[in-house]
Amino acid sequence: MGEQDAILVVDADPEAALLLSDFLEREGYSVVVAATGAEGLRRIHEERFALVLLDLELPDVDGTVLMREAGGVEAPPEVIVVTGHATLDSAIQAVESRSAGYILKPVDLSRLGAIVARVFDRRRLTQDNARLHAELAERLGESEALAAISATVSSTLDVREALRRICRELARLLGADTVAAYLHEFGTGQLVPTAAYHVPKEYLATLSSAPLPLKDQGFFLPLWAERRPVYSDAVAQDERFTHAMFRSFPHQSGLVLPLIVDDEVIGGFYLVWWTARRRFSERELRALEHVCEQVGFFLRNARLYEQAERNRNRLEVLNEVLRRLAAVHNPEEVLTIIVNEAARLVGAEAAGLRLLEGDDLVVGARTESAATVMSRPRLKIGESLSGLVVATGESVVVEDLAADTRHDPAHKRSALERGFRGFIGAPLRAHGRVVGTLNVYTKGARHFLPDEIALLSALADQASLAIEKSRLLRETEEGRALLEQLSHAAIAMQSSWERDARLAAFVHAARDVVGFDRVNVFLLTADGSELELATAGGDEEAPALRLPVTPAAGPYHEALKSRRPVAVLSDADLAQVLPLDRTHLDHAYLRSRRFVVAPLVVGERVIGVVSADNKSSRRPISRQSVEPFSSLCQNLATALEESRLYAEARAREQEATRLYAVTRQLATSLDRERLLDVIAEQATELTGCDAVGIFFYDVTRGVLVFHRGLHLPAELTRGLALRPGEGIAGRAYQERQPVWTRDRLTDATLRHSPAAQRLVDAAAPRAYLGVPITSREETHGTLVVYFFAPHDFTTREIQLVSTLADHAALALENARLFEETQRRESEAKTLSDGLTLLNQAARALHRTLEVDAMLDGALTELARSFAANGALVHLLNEDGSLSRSVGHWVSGGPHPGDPGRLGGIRDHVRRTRAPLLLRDVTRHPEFVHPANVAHGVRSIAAFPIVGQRERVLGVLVLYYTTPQALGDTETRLLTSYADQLATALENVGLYEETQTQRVRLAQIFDSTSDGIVLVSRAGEIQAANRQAGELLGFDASAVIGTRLAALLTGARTDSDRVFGNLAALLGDPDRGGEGDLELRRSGRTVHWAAQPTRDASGGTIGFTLTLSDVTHERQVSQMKTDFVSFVTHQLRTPLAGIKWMLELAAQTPQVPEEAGSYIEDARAAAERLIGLVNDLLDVSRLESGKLTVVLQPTNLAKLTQSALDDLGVLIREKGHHLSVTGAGSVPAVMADPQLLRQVIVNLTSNAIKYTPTGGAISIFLGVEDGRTARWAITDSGIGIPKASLARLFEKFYRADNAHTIETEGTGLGLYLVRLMVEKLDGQVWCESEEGRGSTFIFTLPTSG
Amino acid sequence: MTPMETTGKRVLLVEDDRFLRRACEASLRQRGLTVTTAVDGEEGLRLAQSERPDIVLLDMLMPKLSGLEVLRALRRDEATRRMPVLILSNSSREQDIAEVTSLGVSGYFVKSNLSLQELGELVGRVLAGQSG
Repeated sequence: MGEQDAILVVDADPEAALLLSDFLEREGYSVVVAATGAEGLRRIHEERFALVLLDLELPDVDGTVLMREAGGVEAPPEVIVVTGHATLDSAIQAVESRSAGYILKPVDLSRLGAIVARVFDRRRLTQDNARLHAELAERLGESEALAAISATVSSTLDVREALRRICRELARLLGADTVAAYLHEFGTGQLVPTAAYHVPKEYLATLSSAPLPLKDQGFFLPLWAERRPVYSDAVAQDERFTHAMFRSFPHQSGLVLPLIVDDEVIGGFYLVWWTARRRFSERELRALEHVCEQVGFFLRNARLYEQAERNRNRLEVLNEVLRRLAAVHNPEEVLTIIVNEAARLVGAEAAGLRLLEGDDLVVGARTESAATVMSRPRLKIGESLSGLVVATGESVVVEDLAADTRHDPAHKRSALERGFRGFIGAPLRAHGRVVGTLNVYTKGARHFLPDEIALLSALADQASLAIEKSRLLRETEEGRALLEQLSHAAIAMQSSWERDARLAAFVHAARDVVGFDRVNVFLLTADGSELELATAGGDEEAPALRLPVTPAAGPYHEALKSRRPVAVLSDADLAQVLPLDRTHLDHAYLRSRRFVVAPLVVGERVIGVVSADNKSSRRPISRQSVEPFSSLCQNLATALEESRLYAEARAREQEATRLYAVTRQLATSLDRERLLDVIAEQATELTGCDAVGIFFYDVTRGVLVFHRGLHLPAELTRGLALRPGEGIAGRAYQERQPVWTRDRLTDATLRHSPAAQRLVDAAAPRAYLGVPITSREETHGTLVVYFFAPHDFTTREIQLVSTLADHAALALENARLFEETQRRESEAKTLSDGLTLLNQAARALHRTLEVDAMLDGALTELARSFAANGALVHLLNEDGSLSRSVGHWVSGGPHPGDPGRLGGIRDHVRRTRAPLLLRDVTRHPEFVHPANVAHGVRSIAAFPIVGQRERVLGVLVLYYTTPQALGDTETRLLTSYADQLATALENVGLYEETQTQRVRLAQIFDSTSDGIVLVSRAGEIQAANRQAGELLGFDASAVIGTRLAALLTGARTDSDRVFGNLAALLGDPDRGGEGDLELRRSGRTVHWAAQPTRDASGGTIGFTLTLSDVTHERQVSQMKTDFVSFVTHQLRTPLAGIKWMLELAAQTPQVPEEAGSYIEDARAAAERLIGLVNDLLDVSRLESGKLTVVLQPTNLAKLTQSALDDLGVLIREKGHHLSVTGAGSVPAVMADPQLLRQVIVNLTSNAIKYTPTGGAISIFLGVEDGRTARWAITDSGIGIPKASLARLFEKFYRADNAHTIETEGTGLGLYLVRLMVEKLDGQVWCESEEGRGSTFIFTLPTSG
Repeated sequence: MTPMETTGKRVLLVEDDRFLRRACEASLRQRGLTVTTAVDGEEGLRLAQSERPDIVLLDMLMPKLSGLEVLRALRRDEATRRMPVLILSNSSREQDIAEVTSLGVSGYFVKSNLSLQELGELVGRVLAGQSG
């Protein structure tokens, strides 16, 4: 059991204790026995036990106290209670004090063994848990420390600060007193203190500034190679910590941790415990390694940031340099800046640059300090370091010149003399070529960082650009000055539109800018055959000088043809050009041996040449001046062309202005004659001609007729007519193009007819120009301008006159259109006026519905509108005959439309149904009544008035006393008017009919005895007749539009229910209804019945309330009720009294026989009276509907038999034979048995009564159809006369022959039968023939 | 039915009309019945309760207390609940008939439609039914 704690046995009984201890020791536990409670207590407090076996019954101490004490110590032992007296109390105590077991004595040792083994197992598990828990806590601490380090480090990007914070966190994590961080310096191989935490002041110098040589340290290998922490808890004695530094601050324990960044040890931490002996377990050390790795991560970020920061700074510097370079354009200054900045950028003491000039590298700039190391002004490519840079195009870096062999020896010598050891040469590039090198020199050997080299290269690149830029700038500057001058010259040439001004400006420019003494400008003539001198060298007046456009013009011709300048600047040049023909050498202007000839080119055309020389000063001509001169000539060409175009445009503009004026003039009038004058005037003005003539073609005569002239003698023009093709005018017309002659006297092509020839010969004009006047492809005439002297017509003139003719044609066309428009307008106005009149007339038509008055007024209007002398309407009957005529004829007398007169026109129009227009009535005697002619009628227009279904209602006739040709418009208007008349007439007919109907309805409405109220859906009264007003007590004419509800509220009675019904009706007119209104005010009873009112489509639009005064009926009804009551109570009682008294009397013994018979008769009379009363009561009850019936399935056959039983005595008395058939087949009927019985009894007793003695009576029962049962009784009696048959079932009716049999009938029997059968939803009727008996039949619904 | 069976049975006749009362009383006495008469409803009710007749002939329309009220009173009282009552009315209105018969009567008759002979037989039938 090894290190396990022992077991304490506390038992006062030594034997028991021994038994336990022996057993347990045998089981391998170590056992201590306490014989008393006190000893047990002491041992529990002093020693550690795993288990206590405790007997609660101890002599000196309460066992429970011991148990409690055992639970209170550190790592409390488990307790097993061992007791000799098992009591409930002790057991409970054991449980309450969480004892591990409870064993009774004598102890069962095997059980004890099991319990003890279990206790020990549990204890071991508990201890394991505790240990694991502690480890977990430790891990957690580690993680937290890392988290803390991560947090603190990531909050700074300063490496030094980050290290300091890591030191702090390491101290906290490991409980160190002081921590210092060292970084490895590569150059020196030393560990340099970088940051520290919690360093006592006295050791500040030692721990914060003294570097440690790394390789001298005893912990170098494990730390650097194995990257493991190294510690010592006795530094002073530890041979790994032998460096003097560790002795300089006495401390007990030390820990070195490697600092690993990017898988490389870059330094370490040293943790110090001044006095504590700090040892580390393997696990702790592994954890520390882990921490070291993490720390490296954090630190790396800070380092990366630092590096980025450094790069950024350098880039800023570079940027600044570039900015300064960009601001400078002077090449020397640019170079100076570059070398100074290059030195500054890498912290070099000297810098310079060489540029490639041809094959040599020449010093471009250098700092003062570089004068000795770059003393040779020129180097070849590949020579020395600079040459190497240019040759390879790569940067050359030398960390120590002393060791370099490529350097120029002289340079190297002077460099080493002045202590220059480091060198970088960066190539300068432009357009992909290396053009030089930028060199820097540092004093002392120098390790150049890659980014320094890159930076210098970048500077070199930018420097190349700056150098290139400044070079270009200088070249541009020179070119710009020349261009500016040329540009000024060009501007000067454009300062005026005048050609000569432009030429003068050119000559100035050629002298001042290009520097020529003499300039001659030759321009091609219009036909292009010659060159004409336009200006000569600035001389005031250019001589008239022309050169042919042939090789004879020598260099001029050559320049012209080749379109390139010909420059003769030397004798050699002179020998090569084609010489000028001798003939031209007379001209001083053309004699020169040194000259330039340049062409003047505009687009594709050559317009001339310019020659220039320095003849007067004899200065040589510079080759450089040829190009600018050529360019200047180019400008001149453009300027001259512009000037020409401008002049042309001006001329056209002026012409256009003139033409515009003409057009405006032409547009001022739409009067044809006035226009012709304007055209003539304008022709004169435009051409300056002497005379103008305008001819128009006369279609009817086929000749051109002189129409208008200006300055032409009347005798020439009067009656002048030319055939097409004759003379200028005729030819222009015929050929449809301008035709002219310079002088008619010499022009043989002109032909005239002899007549025209005579006129022409006598006239002054000599030159003619004729142009056709054409518009819309049609030639109307000719415009001719005349000059009284021979005249050459220019194209412009011809064009002008043509244009004028075109405008004239347009204007004339417009005038014609205008005239036409005016004519149309006037026509339209007539139509519009006619329509207006027609409308007025039509309105007159509809104003009244009295036909004749209407027609009379309308016809008067119509006659006036159409300037007729009379207007009649013949109204026709259905058969076409004349009904009557209305309107006014030409005279007041009887007109020919009167009945009895001929009806020719009327009939014709009626038949044809078409208008009839007679312009001259005398030509139509077949239609026209002679009376018309007699009364001066000349024209007649007649129109059918056609109504619906093509019926001719009448004929409208207009009479004129002057001949009239009615145009289409008028005819249309009047036809339309006739249509209007038809509508109006039909409307009148409809109106009359409606009126009649209305009056009739109104009469009916008012004449009915009932009150009628029409109520709209909304509850408003729409109509009410007089009777309604009287009944309800309102003014019938004043209630229209009033709400019915409001009206009834006024007449309210006590019967709210009735009003409720009416109100419901207002909400839903469809339901209808009826009821009584008891009007308290008038004391009358009014019965109302409501029916829904529907429109044509069947929709309910309200309801009709019919009101009748039923006061009297209700009174009668009351009287009836009173009568019934009277009969019941006042008649029956005495009747019963009489009946009973007579019965008693009859029974009295010893009544004389005669008296006996009287008594019997009195009894029969009383019975009859009682029967009558009963019948009356039945009738009354049935009529009033107060009888309530209880319908139930009833056996008709059984009921019949039962009735026959009651009547048996009567049947036998009369000796009738009675049969019943069909009793078995009749189904049950729905009936009130009481009533039905009475029906059967009544009908059967009738049959018995009206059949002579010994007759035959048959009753048939049967089925009519599935739902109806039939009962019939046939007798062989007297029958019923036909006349009586129809009235048989009426109240109080008795058949005429009834009295022959019996006189006692009341006439109520059959009436009652009918009432009862109908009450039972059946029918009753009689079939009979007088003398042959009768059959009475009733039917009833079956119960099925 | 023989006179023997009904002889000595007591009839209470409630009728306000003296002619009817006399005729009816005479006819019933001839049949051997002991007849007590009452001239109005009040008296009729009192006698019915004190005399306990074997049958009551009851008119409907009477002064002081109507036949219907008398009938109701009789039917309310345990002692007279089963007393046979014949209604002799003037009304043949269905409502009247229905109202009365619902209270339990031995018959409802319109006096003018009934002969004394028939009345006597009716009374006899009722009394016989009651005793038998």
